[in-house]
Amino acid sequence: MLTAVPKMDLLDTAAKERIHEASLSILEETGIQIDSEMVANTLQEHGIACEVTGKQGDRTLWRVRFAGDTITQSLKTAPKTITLGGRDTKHDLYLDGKGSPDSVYYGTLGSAPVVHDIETGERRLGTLKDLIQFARLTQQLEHLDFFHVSVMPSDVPNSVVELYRWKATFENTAKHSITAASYDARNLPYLLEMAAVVQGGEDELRRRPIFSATECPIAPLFFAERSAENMVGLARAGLPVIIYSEPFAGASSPVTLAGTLLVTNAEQLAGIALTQIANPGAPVIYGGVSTTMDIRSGNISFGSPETGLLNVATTEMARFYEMPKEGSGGRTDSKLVDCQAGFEKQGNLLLAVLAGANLNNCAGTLESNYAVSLAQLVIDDDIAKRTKRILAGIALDEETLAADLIKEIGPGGQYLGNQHTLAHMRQELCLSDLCSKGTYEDWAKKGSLSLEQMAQKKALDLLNVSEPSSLEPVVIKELEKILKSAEKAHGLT
Amino acid sequence: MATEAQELGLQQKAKEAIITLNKAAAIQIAEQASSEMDASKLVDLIEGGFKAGIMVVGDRFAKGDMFLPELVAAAEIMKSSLAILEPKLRENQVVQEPVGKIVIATVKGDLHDIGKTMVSSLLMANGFEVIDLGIDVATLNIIDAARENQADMICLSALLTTTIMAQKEVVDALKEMGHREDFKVMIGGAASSKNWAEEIGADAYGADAQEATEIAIDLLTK
Repeated sequence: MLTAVPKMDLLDTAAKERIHEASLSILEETGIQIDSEMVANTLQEHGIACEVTGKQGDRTLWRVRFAGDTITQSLKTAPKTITLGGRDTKHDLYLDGKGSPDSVYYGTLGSAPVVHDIETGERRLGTLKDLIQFARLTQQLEHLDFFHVSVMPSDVPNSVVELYRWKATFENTAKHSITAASYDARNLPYLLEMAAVVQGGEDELRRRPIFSATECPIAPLFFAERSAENMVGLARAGLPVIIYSEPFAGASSPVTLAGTLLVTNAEQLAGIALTQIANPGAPVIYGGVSTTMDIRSGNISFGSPETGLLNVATTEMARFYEMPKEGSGGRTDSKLVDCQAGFEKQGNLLLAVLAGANLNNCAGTLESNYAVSLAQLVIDDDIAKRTKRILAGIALDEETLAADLIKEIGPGGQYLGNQHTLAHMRQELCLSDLCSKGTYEDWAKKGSLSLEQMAQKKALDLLNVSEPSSLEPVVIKELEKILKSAEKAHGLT
Repeated sequence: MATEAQELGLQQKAKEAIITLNKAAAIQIAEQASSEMDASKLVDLIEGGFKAGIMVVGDRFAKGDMFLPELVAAAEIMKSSLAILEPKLRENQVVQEPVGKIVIATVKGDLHDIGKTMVSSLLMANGFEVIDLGIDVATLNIIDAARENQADMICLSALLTTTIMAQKEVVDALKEMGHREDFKVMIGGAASSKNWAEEIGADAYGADAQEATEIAIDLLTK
C-alpha cells in the first residue's frame, strides 16, 4: 500500500555540509575542555593530545583538539541502528539513523525537583513516592514508549539519589528508561550491577540495554568530569550513551539559531568521538536538545518556536550522520496545565517528529522542565497519540480512495453504516479519551469537566488499578542488596 | 583641570555611554577622567555618570524595555570603566560607599556560570559592589573573600541537585567559625528553593535575578 507520510525538510545538503565542516574546524582549532584525568589518560593512550591549560579549583583543565580524521573515523564506527531494551521484548525500541516513522518514539522527561500534587494541587518538592507514581502511570499509558526518570526525589540520601531513582524505575516500569547514569562516578558500577540483574545478565543487558544514559556537556564545549567519565565508562561497558547537548541560545551559545546549531553539532561530534575512542562500535545517540533563552527573564525557553526549529535542524544533522537522535520533543514553559502548555507542546513535538527524531522526551513536564504533573502526563499521552496519527499519514490505494464506492453512493447519498466505513473507521480516525468532542449538552451532562479535570480523573483511575511492581520478588531483593552495599560504601549505614 | 561644566558634561556622557552600551566611549571617558580630573571629583563622575547610567539600564530592564543580555553588557562596561579609575582613587585614598558589598559564587562542584552572572549584573545595576568569585569555589575561599572584602552579604548559586549541599556547607562553616552574624546569606540556582534556604539556615532564597536583587535591597538597605 502506498502511504503518503508527512515529512519536514529544513536544511539542504549544502547547509548540512557547511555545519559539519564548521564543526570540524571548531574541534580542530578550539577543541573541547575536560577536567578528568581518567578521560585525559584514555585520550592520550589513543594518541590524542591533551594540553594542560590551567586549574579549576584543585582539578586540572585540559584542552582536547580533535583532528578531522578522528571525527570521521568515530562517525564510521558509531552504530547506525540501536536496540534499546524494555524489561520484556514487547517494550523494545528499534532506533534507526534514518528516522523512519516506525522508529519514532515518545516518552516522559524530568529529573524535575518539583511536583504538582494531583490530589491537593500543591506545588511541592518531589519524593520517591512521586517517582514511583510517574513510572507506574507511564507504564500504563499506551502511547508513551519510554520512561525518562521524571522526578528528582528530595527525601532520599543525596549521595546515592541516582541509585534510588534507578531502583524505583526498574521496579515500576517495564519500559526502557533514560536519565543521567550517575552524579558520582563511584555509583556507576552499582547501576550496571542493578541493570544486569534486571535484564538477566551482562550479555543480555548489552544486547537489550534496559537503560540509556543522558550525559550532558556544559555548553559551550566543556565536557566536565562526571559526564565525560560516564561517556567513557558506559562506552567501555557497551551500553548506550546519549550525548545530551543543551546549549541555550544567547547564553551558552550564540543567540543566532545557526550558531547554536553549530555549538550543538560540535559537542555531538566530540562526544561521539569520546565514546568511539573508548570503545569503537559502542552505542551512542545524537542528543541535541538545544533551546533559547528568554531575554526578558534569562530563563530557559523550551516552548519557544525557535526551540522547535532547532529540534528539526539537530535531527537533520543526526540524519546526515545516519545516527539515531534524541530530542526535546514538545516541552513547555507554562506554569499550569493550560492552553500555553498545549500549543507549545504540540507545536514543537510535531516539528521534531516530522523531522524524524527517534526519542522525543517531553511528557509530564511543565515550567521548562522544573516541574512535573501527572495530569499533564495523561494529556501528553493524548498528544503523542494525535502526533502518531499525523505521522502515519494518508494511505492511498484503490480501497482507501474508494472511487467505486463514491460512484455507487452517488450525489446526495451517505456513508453512515456503509461496510467501507465500518471496515476503515478504527484505523483511519484517531479518538481522544480526553478532548471534548460531542455537543455542549452532552459535555454538561457528564459534569462539565475541563481537560485538566478529565486528565486528573484518568490518572487517578489508572493509578488505582496499577500493580505494585511487576518485577520478580527475588530481583527486587537483589536490587535492595546492591543499593544497601552502595549506601555502606558511602558510609550511610 | 576640567571646569565644572566640563565635569557635568563628562558625567552626562558617561551615563549615555552606559545606557547606549558604548564600551569604547565609556573607556575613553574613564581614561580622560583618570588623567585630567581631580581624584575627589572622580566619585561624582562614578555616581552621577556610570552608576546613574546603569541604574537607568536596571530600570529599563525591570520594565521590559531592555533585555538581560543588554544588562549584562552594561554591567561589564561599567566594571571595565571603574577598573580604569580604581588606581587613582586608591592612590588618593578616596573611599566610595556602595549601597552594599556582596560576594557571589557558584559553589564547589558546580560549574554553571550563567545564572550567577545574571544576578551579579542586576545587583551591580542597583548600586551594589559585587565581588564575583566565579564557579566551583571552595567553601573556605568564599568565606575568606567575604571577610577580606568586609562584605555585607554572601550569595551562593547551585544549579545541580547534587551540589546544593555545598550551600549548606558554607552556612555551617560560617556558624562554626563564629561568622554567621557577619553576613547575610542568600542562595539561588535551579536546584535550590525557599524550603532549602530555611532548612540550611540561609537568610533568603532568590528565585531569579529580579527577586534576588529585591531581596538584597530589602536586607541590606532597609
